[in-house]
Amino acid sequence: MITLQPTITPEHLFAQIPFARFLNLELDIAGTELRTHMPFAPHLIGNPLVPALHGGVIGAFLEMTAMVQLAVAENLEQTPKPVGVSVQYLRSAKPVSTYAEAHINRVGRTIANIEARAWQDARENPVALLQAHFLIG
Amino acid sequence: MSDCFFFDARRPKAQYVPTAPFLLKANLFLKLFLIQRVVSKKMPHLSDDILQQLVETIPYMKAIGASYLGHDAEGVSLKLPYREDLIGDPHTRVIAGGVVTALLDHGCGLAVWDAVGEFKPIATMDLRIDYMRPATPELDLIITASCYKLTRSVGFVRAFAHDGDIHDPVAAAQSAFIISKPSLKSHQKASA
Repeated sequence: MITLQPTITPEHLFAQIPFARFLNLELDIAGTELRTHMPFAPHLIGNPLVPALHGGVIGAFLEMTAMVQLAVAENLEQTPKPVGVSVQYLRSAKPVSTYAEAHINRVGRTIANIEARAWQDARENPVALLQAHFLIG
Repeated sequence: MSDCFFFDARRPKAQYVPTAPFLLKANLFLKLFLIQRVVSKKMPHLSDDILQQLVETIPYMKAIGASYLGHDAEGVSLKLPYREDLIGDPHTRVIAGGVVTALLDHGCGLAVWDAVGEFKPIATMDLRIDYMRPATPELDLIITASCYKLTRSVGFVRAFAHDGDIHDPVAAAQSAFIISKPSLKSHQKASA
Protein backbone atom coordinates (compact mmCIF):
# COMPACT_ATOMS: atom_id res chain seq x y z
CA MET A 1 0.00 0.00 0.00
CA ILE A 2 1.30 3.40 -0.94
CA THR A 3 1.19 6.09 1.68
CA LEU A 4 1.91 9.68 0.84
CA GLN A 5 4.31 11.28 3.23
CA PRO A 6 3.69 14.93 3.96
CA THR A 7 7.43 15.78 4.06
CA ILE A 8 7.99 15.41 0.30
CA THR A 9 5.15 16.48 -1.89
CA PRO A 10 5.21 15.06 -5.40
CA GLU A 11 4.72 18.51 -6.88
CA HIS A 12 7.81 19.63 -5.06
CA LEU A 13 9.75 16.66 -6.42
CA PHE A 14 8.70 17.34 -10.00
CA ALA A 15 9.51 21.02 -9.70
CA GLN A 16 13.03 20.09 -8.60
CA ILE A 17 13.77 17.87 -11.59
CA PRO A 18 14.54 19.98 -14.66
CA PHE A 19 13.78 17.13 -17.06
CA ALA A 20 10.30 16.65 -15.55
CA ARG A 21 9.67 20.31 -16.31
CA PHE A 22 11.01 19.79 -19.83
CA LEU A 23 8.41 17.05 -20.39
CA ASN A 24 5.84 19.28 -18.66
CA LEU A 25 4.76 16.46 -16.35
CA GLU A 26 1.76 16.85 -14.09
CA LEU A 27 0.52 14.78 -11.16
CA ASP A 28 -2.96 13.67 -10.25
CA ILE A 29 -3.40 12.26 -6.79
CA ALA A 30 -6.48 10.12 -6.23
CA GLY A 31 -6.43 8.88 -2.66
CA THR A 32 -3.34 6.74 -2.30
CA GLU A 33 -2.86 6.40 -6.05
CA LEU A 34 -0.43 8.51 -7.92
CA ARG A 35 -1.03 9.15 -11.58
CA THR A 36 1.18 11.18 -13.87
CA HIS A 37 0.01 13.06 -16.88
CA MET A 38 2.05 14.20 -19.85
CA PRO A 39 0.14 16.76 -21.93
CA PHE A 40 0.86 16.74 -25.64
CA ALA A 41 3.45 19.20 -26.91
CA PRO A 42 4.71 19.48 -30.51
CA HIS A 43 8.33 18.92 -29.50
CA LEU A 44 7.53 15.39 -28.24
CA ILE A 45 6.86 14.09 -31.74
CA GLY A 46 9.16 11.31 -32.92
CA ASN A 47 7.51 10.42 -36.19
CA PRO A 48 5.98 13.41 -37.98
CA LEU A 49 4.42 11.21 -40.70
CA VAL A 50 2.06 9.14 -38.51
CA PRO A 51 2.25 11.38 -36.32
CA ALA A 52 3.36 9.63 -33.12
CA LEU A 53 5.16 10.53 -29.91
CA HIS A 54 8.82 9.57 -29.72
CA GLY A 55 9.42 6.14 -28.16
CA GLY A 56 12.07 7.70 -25.99
CA VAL A 57 9.55 10.19 -24.62
CA ILE A 58 7.26 7.36 -23.55
CA GLY A 59 10.21 5.51 -22.01
CA ALA A 60 11.35 8.63 -20.16
CA PHE A 61 7.81 9.35 -18.98
CA LEU A 62 7.38 5.82 -17.60
CA GLU A 63 10.79 5.95 -15.96
CA MET A 64 9.95 9.28 -14.35
CA THR A 65 6.59 7.96 -13.11
CA ALA A 66 8.20 4.90 -11.54
CA MET A 67 10.89 7.09 -9.97
CA VAL A 68 8.42 9.53 -8.41
CA GLN A 69 6.13 6.77 -7.19
CA LEU A 70 9.07 5.12 -5.47
CA ALA A 71 10.40 8.36 -4.00
CA VAL A 72 6.98 9.25 -2.63
CA ALA A 73 6.04 5.80 -1.33
CA GLU A 74 9.38 5.24 0.36
CA ASN A 75 9.87 8.85 1.40
CA LEU A 76 13.33 8.96 -0.15
CA GLU A 77 15.53 11.99 0.20
CA GLN A 78 17.46 11.38 -2.99
CA THR A 79 15.93 10.55 -6.35
CA PRO A 80 16.20 6.80 -6.99
CA LYS A 81 18.65 5.86 -9.75
CA PRO A 82 17.62 3.47 -12.51
CA VAL A 83 19.80 0.36 -12.87
CA GLY A 84 17.93 -1.64 -15.45
CA VAL A 85 14.92 -0.56 -17.46
CA SER A 86 12.93 -2.56 -19.96
CA VAL A 87 10.17 -1.00 -22.04
CA GLN A 88 7.71 -2.88 -24.21
CA TYR A 89 5.96 -0.77 -26.82
CA LEU A 90 2.50 -2.07 -27.60
CA ARG A 91 0.93 0.71 -29.68
CA SER A 92 2.08 3.86 -31.36
CA ALA A 93 1.41 6.83 -29.10
CA LYS A 94 -0.93 9.38 -30.63
CA PRO A 95 -0.27 13.10 -30.22
CA VAL A 96 -2.63 13.44 -27.25
CA SER A 97 -2.31 13.40 -23.47
CA THR A 98 -0.62 10.33 -22.00
CA TYR A 99 -1.20 8.98 -18.50
CA ALA A 100 0.86 6.60 -16.42
CA GLU A 101 0.75 4.66 -13.19
CA ALA A 102 3.45 2.70 -11.41
CA HIS A 103 3.17 -0.30 -9.16
CA ILE A 104 5.90 -1.24 -6.70
CA ASN A 105 6.55 -4.97 -6.68
CA ARG A 106 9.23 -5.11 -4.05
CA VAL A 107 11.50 -2.75 -2.15
CA GLY A 108 14.68 -4.24 -0.80
CA ARG A 109 17.56 -2.62 1.02
CA THR A 110 19.33 -1.43 -2.12
CA ILE A 111 17.11 -2.31 -5.07
CA ALA A 112 13.43 -1.75 -5.78
CA ASN A 113 11.47 -3.48 -8.50
CA ILE A 114 8.73 -1.46 -10.16
CA GLU A 115 6.44 -1.79 -13.12
CA ALA A 116 4.54 0.96 -14.85
CA ARG A 117 2.04 1.35 -17.65
CA ALA A 118 1.24 4.26 -19.90
CA TRP A 119 -2.04 4.71 -21.73
CA GLN A 120 -3.93 7.32 -23.70
CA ASP A 121 -7.61 6.58 -24.35
CA ALA A 122 -8.30 3.74 -21.90
CA ARG A 123 -6.32 2.16 -19.11
CA GLU A 124 -7.02 -1.29 -20.59
CA ASN A 125 -5.22 -0.33 -23.79
CA PRO A 126 -1.68 0.45 -22.66
CA VAL A 127 0.65 2.23 -25.06
CA ALA A 128 3.75 0.89 -23.33
CA LEU A 129 4.78 -1.13 -20.29
CA LEU A 130 7.87 -0.73 -18.17
CA GLN A 131 9.76 -3.04 -15.85
CA ALA A 132 12.53 -1.42 -13.87
CA HIS A 133 15.04 -1.85 -11.10
CA PHE A 134 16.00 1.23 -9.13
CA LEU A 135 18.89 1.77 -6.79
CA ILE A 136 17.76 3.36 -3.54
CA GLY A 137 19.71 4.85 -0.69
CA MET B 1 58.42 -27.02 -57.90
CA SER B 2 58.52 -28.28 -61.49
CA ASP B 3 62.23 -29.10 -61.26
CA CYS B 4 61.69 -31.18 -58.16
CA PHE B 5 62.13 -34.76 -59.22
CA PHE B 6 60.07 -36.17 -56.40
CA PHE B 7 57.09 -33.95 -57.08
CA ASP B 8 57.14 -34.55 -60.83
CA ALA B 9 57.32 -38.29 -60.44
CA ARG B 10 54.24 -38.45 -58.27
CA ARG B 11 52.00 -36.10 -60.17
CA PRO B 12 53.27 -35.99 -63.73
CA LYS B 13 50.00 -35.16 -65.46
CA ALA B 14 49.11 -32.07 -63.51
CA GLN B 15 51.67 -29.98 -65.40
CA TYR B 16 50.10 -30.62 -68.78
CA VAL B 17 46.78 -29.01 -67.98
CA PRO B 18 47.61 -25.31 -67.94
CA THR B 19 44.00 -24.17 -68.31
CA ALA B 20 42.72 -25.83 -65.13
CA PRO B 21 44.31 -23.49 -62.53
CA PHE B 22 43.28 -20.51 -64.58
CA LEU B 23 39.65 -21.64 -64.65
CA LEU B 24 39.76 -22.39 -60.94
CA LYS B 25 41.05 -18.92 -60.24
CA ALA B 26 38.39 -17.33 -62.43
CA ASN B 27 35.75 -19.36 -60.64
CA LEU B 28 37.09 -18.20 -57.29
CA PHE B 29 36.97 -14.56 -58.38
CA LEU B 30 33.41 -15.00 -59.62
CA LYS B 31 32.39 -16.56 -56.31
CA LEU B 32 34.04 -13.79 -54.32
CA PHE B 33 32.31 -11.21 -56.47
CA LEU B 34 28.92 -12.86 -55.91
CA ILE B 35 29.51 -13.19 -52.15
CA GLN B 36 30.50 -9.57 -51.95
CA ARG B 37 27.35 -8.58 -53.81
CA VAL B 38 25.18 -10.66 -51.50
CA VAL B 39 26.90 -9.23 -48.41
CA SER B 40 26.63 -5.67 -49.61
CA LYS B 41 23.01 -6.28 -50.53
CA LYS B 42 22.36 -7.71 -47.06
CA MET B 43 23.85 -4.78 -45.15
CA PRO B 44 23.51 -1.63 -47.22
CA HIS B 45 24.08 1.77 -45.73
CA LEU B 46 22.28 5.06 -45.89
CA SER B 47 24.23 8.16 -46.75
CA ASP B 48 25.32 10.50 -43.96
CA ASP B 49 23.01 13.21 -45.33
CA ILE B 50 19.92 11.05 -44.95
CA LEU B 51 20.93 9.84 -41.49
CA GLN B 52 21.56 13.43 -40.45
CA GLN B 53 18.09 14.36 -41.70
CA LEU B 54 16.59 11.46 -39.78
CA VAL B 55 17.94 13.04 -36.60
CA GLU B 56 17.56 16.72 -37.24
CA THR B 57 14.04 16.72 -38.67
CA ILE B 58 12.60 14.81 -35.70
CA PRO B 59 10.96 17.35 -33.36
CA TYR B 60 11.93 15.59 -30.14
CA MET B 61 15.57 15.22 -31.18
CA LYS B 62 15.59 18.90 -32.11
CA ALA B 63 14.07 19.77 -28.72
CA ILE B 64 16.77 18.02 -26.72
CA GLY B 65 19.50 19.25 -29.08
CA ALA B 66 20.78 15.94 -30.43
CA SER B 67 22.83 15.80 -33.61
CA TYR B 68 24.17 13.13 -35.95
CA LEU B 69 27.85 12.47 -35.34
CA GLY B 70 28.89 9.95 -37.95
CA HIS B 71 29.15 6.41 -39.07
CA ASP B 72 32.08 4.01 -38.56
CA ALA B 73 32.85 0.33 -37.95
CA GLU B 74 31.30 0.52 -34.46
CA GLY B 75 28.00 1.76 -35.87
CA VAL B 76 25.98 4.94 -36.14
CA SER B 77 26.70 7.69 -33.61
CA LEU B 78 24.65 10.51 -32.13
CA LYS B 79 25.77 13.35 -29.92
CA LEU B 80 23.94 15.24 -27.19
CA PRO B 81 25.60 18.33 -25.70
CA TYR B 82 25.08 18.78 -21.93
CA ARG B 83 22.17 21.05 -21.06
CA GLU B 84 20.84 22.39 -17.76
CA ASP B 85 17.18 21.71 -18.53
CA LEU B 86 17.81 17.98 -19.11
CA ILE B 87 19.11 17.35 -15.59
CA GLY B 88 17.41 14.49 -13.77
CA ASP B 89 19.02 14.84 -10.35
CA PRO B 90 19.45 18.44 -9.17
CA HIS B 91 21.97 17.42 -6.48
CA THR B 92 24.46 15.61 -8.69
CA ARG B 93 23.55 17.56 -11.90
CA VAL B 94 23.50 14.28 -13.83
CA ILE B 95 21.41 14.16 -16.99
CA ALA B 96 18.04 12.36 -16.61
CA GLY B 97 17.86 8.65 -17.35
CA GLY B 98 14.93 9.45 -19.62
CA VAL B 99 17.12 11.53 -21.93
CA VAL B 100 19.56 8.65 -22.28
CA THR B 101 16.59 6.35 -22.95
CA ALA B 102 15.29 8.61 -25.73
CA LEU B 103 18.71 8.94 -27.34
CA LEU B 104 19.38 5.21 -27.17
CA ASP B 105 15.98 4.56 -28.72
CA HIS B 106 16.65 6.96 -31.56
CA GLY B 107 20.21 5.70 -32.07
CA CYS B 108 18.90 2.16 -32.35
CA GLY B 109 16.30 3.31 -34.86
CA LEU B 110 18.98 4.96 -36.97
CA ALA B 111 21.05 1.76 -36.95
CA VAL B 112 18.01 -0.14 -38.25
CA TRP B 113 17.40 2.41 -41.04
CA ASP B 114 21.07 2.20 -41.93
CA ALA B 115 20.91 -1.59 -42.13
CA VAL B 116 17.65 -1.60 -44.11
CA GLY B 117 19.27 0.83 -46.53
CA GLU B 118 16.14 2.83 -47.22
CA PHE B 119 13.60 4.82 -45.29
CA LYS B 120 10.85 2.50 -44.11
CA PRO B 121 8.48 3.12 -41.20
CA ILE B 122 9.90 1.41 -38.13
CA ALA B 123 8.72 1.21 -34.54
CA THR B 124 10.37 0.20 -31.28
CA MET B 125 8.98 -3.08 -30.04
CA ASP B 126 11.23 -3.66 -27.07
CA LEU B 127 13.96 -1.62 -25.45
CA ARG B 128 16.08 -2.83 -22.56
CA ILE B 129 18.60 -0.53 -20.93
CA ASP B 130 21.23 -1.14 -18.26
CA TYR B 131 22.64 1.92 -16.57
CA MET B 132 26.25 1.30 -15.52
CA ARG B 133 27.23 4.67 -14.14
CA PRO B 134 25.95 8.25 -14.08
CA ALA B 135 26.86 10.35 -17.12
CA THR B 136 29.52 12.92 -16.25
CA PRO B 137 27.98 16.41 -15.96
CA GLU B 138 29.17 19.01 -18.52
CA LEU B 139 30.33 16.32 -20.99
CA ASP B 140 28.70 15.51 -24.32
CA LEU B 141 26.82 12.23 -24.35
CA ILE B 142 27.54 9.97 -27.31
CA ILE B 143 25.36 7.09 -28.49
CA THR B 144 26.81 4.38 -30.72
CA ALA B 145 24.39 1.82 -32.11
CA SER B 146 24.72 -1.07 -34.51
CA CYS B 147 22.13 -3.36 -36.02
CA TYR B 148 23.69 -6.80 -35.79
CA LYS B 149 20.82 -8.78 -37.27
CA LEU B 150 18.11 -7.88 -39.71
CA THR B 151 15.24 -10.10 -40.74
CA ARG B 152 12.42 -9.18 -43.10
CA SER B 153 10.33 -7.64 -40.34
CA VAL B 154 12.54 -7.24 -37.27
CA GLY B 155 15.85 -5.48 -36.63
CA PHE B 156 17.97 -6.33 -33.57
CA VAL B 157 20.21 -3.59 -32.24
CA ARG B 158 22.90 -3.19 -29.61
CA ALA B 159 23.79 0.32 -28.46
CA PHE B 160 26.04 2.06 -25.97
CA ALA B 161 25.88 5.48 -24.36
CA HIS B 162 29.26 6.90 -23.38
CA ASP B 163 31.23 10.12 -22.86
CA GLY B 164 33.71 9.46 -25.65
CA ASP B 165 35.21 6.09 -24.69
CA ILE B 166 32.89 3.29 -25.80
CA HIS B 167 34.71 0.88 -23.45
CA ASP B 168 33.59 2.91 -20.43
CA PRO B 169 29.84 3.05 -21.11
CA VAL B 170 27.23 5.04 -19.21
CA ALA B 171 24.49 2.71 -20.40
CA ALA B 172 23.97 -0.25 -22.71
CA ALA B 173 20.82 -1.00 -24.66
CA GLN B 174 19.42 -4.00 -26.44
CA SER B 175 16.41 -3.43 -28.62
CA ALA B 176 14.16 -4.90 -31.25
CA PHE B 177 12.45 -2.85 -33.94
CA ILE B 178 9.56 -3.84 -36.12
CA ILE B 179 10.00 -2.85 -39.75
CA SER B 180 6.63 -2.23 -41.29
CA LYS B 181 5.79 -3.28 -44.77
CA PRO B 182 3.30 -1.12 -46.58
CA SER B 183 0.05 -2.91 -45.78
CA LEU B 184 -2.65 -3.67 -48.33
CA LYS B 185 -4.95 -1.23 -46.55
CA SER B 186 -2.59 1.73 -46.81
CA HIS B 187 -1.84 0.75 -50.40
CA GLN B 188 -5.52 0.90 -51.26
CA LYS B 189 -5.83 4.20 -49.45
CA ALA B 190 -2.91 5.65 -51.36
CA SER B 191 -4.25 4.53 -54.74
CA ALA B 192 -7.79 5.71 -54.00
